[in-house]
Amino acid sequence: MKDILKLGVILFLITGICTGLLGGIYQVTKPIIEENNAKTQMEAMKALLTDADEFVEVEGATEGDVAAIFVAKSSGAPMGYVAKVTPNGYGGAIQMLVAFNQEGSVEGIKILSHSETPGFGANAEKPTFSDQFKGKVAPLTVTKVAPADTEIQAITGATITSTAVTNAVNAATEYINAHSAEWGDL
Amino acid sequence: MSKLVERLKAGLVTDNPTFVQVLGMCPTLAVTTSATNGFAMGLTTTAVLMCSNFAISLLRKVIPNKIRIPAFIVIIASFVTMIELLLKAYMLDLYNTLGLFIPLIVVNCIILGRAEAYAFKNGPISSIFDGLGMGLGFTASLTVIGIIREVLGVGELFGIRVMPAYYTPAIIMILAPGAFFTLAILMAILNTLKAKKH
Repeated sequence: MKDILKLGVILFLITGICTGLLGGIYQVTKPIIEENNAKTQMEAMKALLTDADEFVEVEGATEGDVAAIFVAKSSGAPMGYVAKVTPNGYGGAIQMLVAFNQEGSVEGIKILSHSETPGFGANAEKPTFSDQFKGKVAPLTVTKVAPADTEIQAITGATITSTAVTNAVNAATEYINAHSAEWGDL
Repeated sequence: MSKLVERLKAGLVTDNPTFVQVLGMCPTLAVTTSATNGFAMGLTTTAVLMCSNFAISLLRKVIPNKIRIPAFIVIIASFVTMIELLLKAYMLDLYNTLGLFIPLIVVNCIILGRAEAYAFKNGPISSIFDGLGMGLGFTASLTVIGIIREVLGVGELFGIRVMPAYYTPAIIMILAPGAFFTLAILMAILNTLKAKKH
């Protein structure tokens, strides 16, 4: 009995000290990490909508794969939208941004993180695939031959990834078309 | 002094964690898709290994034998989480390359193995050197595997094209099978060399 208590107390002390140290480091690094994340996202959004100087997040804008919506502004006037979408690819969730102008056509997409197969689905990051979305208006479909106006040419050997990304763009468009009227006074 | 040098040599050559002890196979196979990844994973593991070996060696007279494994795990997991937070805050690029694999360092059996086999029985200074030696041995092995896989699988080395333009990269080398091929062939070569020496 006494032995068990002694062991328990020692283990408790070890975990207690470790937790204390971890808590300290967490507190110190937390603001820096948050700043880093915001910066990464901001840089990606700026690269998509180069004219915007401010991005205002729409509160509670989540539905299905749509994780967040930002209204892009240029000197105070809205000039487009950025949707953060997280569709399921071949290897797990893909995190991506889709930027739209006010007319609802795609300004560009940027994949933030993914776990697709290297050499196949991972090529979705490359401009040869992602630049196809520029200037297109959803709903878009995936094709394996030369694409028409509302079509995206699939990455060879990665139809699932291509479809997931394309559908995410469609979902973002649908969400923005349905709700953008509510965001006028942001 | 000679003891410390002996520890380094053990980690790098005679007791190399990857090729001799065959420990820590999960990160070895999973992250070595490029030389940079292998190198970075090796160095991060080295940092954790040195910290955990040092802490466990200092506490070796305080930790009762019966609860040494849970105590080791708590200490190792704390160091890994600390390093993850620090990387996220101060070395974001490196964190983005390693990402998901950092938490997996906790279950890297090299670290628990060294705690159990060395740090729990030896003094703090030689334990640090044991961690350094084992860590560098791990780093060297991962970098070599990463170099071979990256050159054959992408035609690049540390992100720079090294193979002639007509070389079509063998994508299988950066997928899971490539990791097994590379590891098996390297191990076979090393074992042959060792057998010849005896």
